[in-house]
Amino acid sequence: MNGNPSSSPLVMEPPWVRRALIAFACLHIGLLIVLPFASVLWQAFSHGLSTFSQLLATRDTRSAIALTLSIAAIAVPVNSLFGLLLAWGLTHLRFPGRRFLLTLLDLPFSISPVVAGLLFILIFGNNGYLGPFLRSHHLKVIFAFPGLLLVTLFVTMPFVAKELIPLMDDADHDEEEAARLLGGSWWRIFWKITFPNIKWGLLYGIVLCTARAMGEFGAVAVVSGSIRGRTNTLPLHIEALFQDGDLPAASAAASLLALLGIISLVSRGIAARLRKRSEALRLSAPSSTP
Amino acid sequence: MSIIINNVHKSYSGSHVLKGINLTVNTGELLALLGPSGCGKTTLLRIIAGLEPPDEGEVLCNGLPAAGSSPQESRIGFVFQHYALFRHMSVFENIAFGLRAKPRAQRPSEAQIREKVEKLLELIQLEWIAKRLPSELSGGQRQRVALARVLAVDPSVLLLDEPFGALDAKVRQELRHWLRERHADLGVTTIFVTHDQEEAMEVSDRIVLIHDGKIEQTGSPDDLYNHPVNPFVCDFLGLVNMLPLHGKTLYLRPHEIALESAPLPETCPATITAIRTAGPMVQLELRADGHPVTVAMTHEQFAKGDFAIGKTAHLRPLLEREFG
Repeated sequence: MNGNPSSSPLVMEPPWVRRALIAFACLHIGLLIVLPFASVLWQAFSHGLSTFSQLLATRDTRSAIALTLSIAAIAVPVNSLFGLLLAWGLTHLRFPGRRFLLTLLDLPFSISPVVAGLLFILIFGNNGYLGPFLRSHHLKVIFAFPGLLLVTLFVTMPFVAKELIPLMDDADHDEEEAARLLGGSWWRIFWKITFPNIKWGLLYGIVLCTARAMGEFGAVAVVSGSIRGRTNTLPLHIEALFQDGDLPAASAAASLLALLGIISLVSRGIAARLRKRSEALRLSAPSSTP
Repeated sequence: MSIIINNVHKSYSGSHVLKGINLTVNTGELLALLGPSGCGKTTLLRIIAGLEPPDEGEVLCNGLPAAGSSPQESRIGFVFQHYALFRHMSVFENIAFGLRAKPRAQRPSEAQIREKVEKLLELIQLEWIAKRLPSELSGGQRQRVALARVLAVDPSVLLLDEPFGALDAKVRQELRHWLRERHADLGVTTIFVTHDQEEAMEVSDRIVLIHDGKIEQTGSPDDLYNHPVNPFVCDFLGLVNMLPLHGKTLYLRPHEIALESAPLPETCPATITAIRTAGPMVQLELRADGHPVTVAMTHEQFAKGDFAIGKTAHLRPLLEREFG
């Protein structure tokens, strides 16, 4: 639990090696993360706040922000609820194919977002399987809001479930069984026993899911069609501004998106700390002492 | 409540854990399911509790099938090996859980719940810990809270899985005594699982010895200790010497062999290799024809005889126990 590297018994190297390693870590993070980030901010603020006010004054930017927020507002609650149900089912029920489903859950993480976007084109696109059906009913999925929502749902699907499965998969469910034998209903057991054990993990999963839902580029780019003011999300809008050669505007928009990222990074840190604390409680709880 | 277990079988991923268990548990009895690790005793307890369905056979509670009835109807109190206390709830809320979970019509008022929980805390002599979390309790305290939690719902059967397994020796001794007394007060049919034969003999009225998914013997502690039906039971219940004598193999406990200074027709000679005091008895290690033999006698008997390491003594069996 000690975070101080110099006191770790695993580090036997002489002090100069340690100092060199720390310097390397700082340099690495500085060059690859801090420097680019700082230059974006510098570009954005090079003309003062006026770049931001001009940027926010354009209809396209406001529409991109609204679109990104509304996609996240639907995708995050949906994936949180279904992630919770999925995690409960996969950890509490034993059925053939359970392991396979657990593996499939990793698919959205392991395939390239561009491929994910293409999958949806193949299904919902004009020449896709459902294309003729959608056309005859005047429904638009690809190059429209439903398509953007669907790919976002796809790429952010595993976050909550992946976070909850290890927490719920406590091999034996002693506490839940004890509650059941004491006459607890399913709902009471979930609410009083299961939920308190997973709530910080759930929050952590939701934060990760939100960050990805707002930041996704590749999959969204494929199905968006990049119609400015209509189907451009904030990440796509940044790309469009950049293509226009409007570097300050692109940087300002990028720092807006980065701001959302920083907010989620901070809340992620808080959620992780709370989760760790409740984990410590679990480890000291009677059910897991040998 | 009486429990009848009829030909219960259970397998887990190919391994046959229970192979046809038949057992009747009488109302008010204190029964021990005894056996080595992995013999299936915990599985049997979980099947009785309704936590697992048997593959074959049935469990009848008061003549009615236990399977399918709700926990409230069957009123089974189960204490888990590691207690399974609700880690996010105070001791008070842990004990109150079963009362709060009752259907609205039967649920006691808040004042009644308070009164009942306080009475139970008094029973387990832990009134002052009501507000603590389980993680702040010692092992023995957790154990007693787990018992109070199931007693809150007035169970008609109490099932305890290795109730003293995780406790240190002194606390274990106290809790055994305490459990015996509580059983005498409450008269609840109680079944507990243990791998410790001393614990089973000390606490229970009747022992069911299980080995490899089958019942080896059922009976009082005295029955199993003094009248085992096979070598396994004999060996599991306590130290036993296998003594080849006049073409027979006798299974004798250390105190069932006497040492004579001169040979008799039924004796066989042995050399003393070690002598040590074991509480109220003196224990002598001998070798007879290459076999190690342990003999126990009172300090008085030891003082009367002339025993020393290296000397020869003659083993005289005090009874004839052999298994065909």
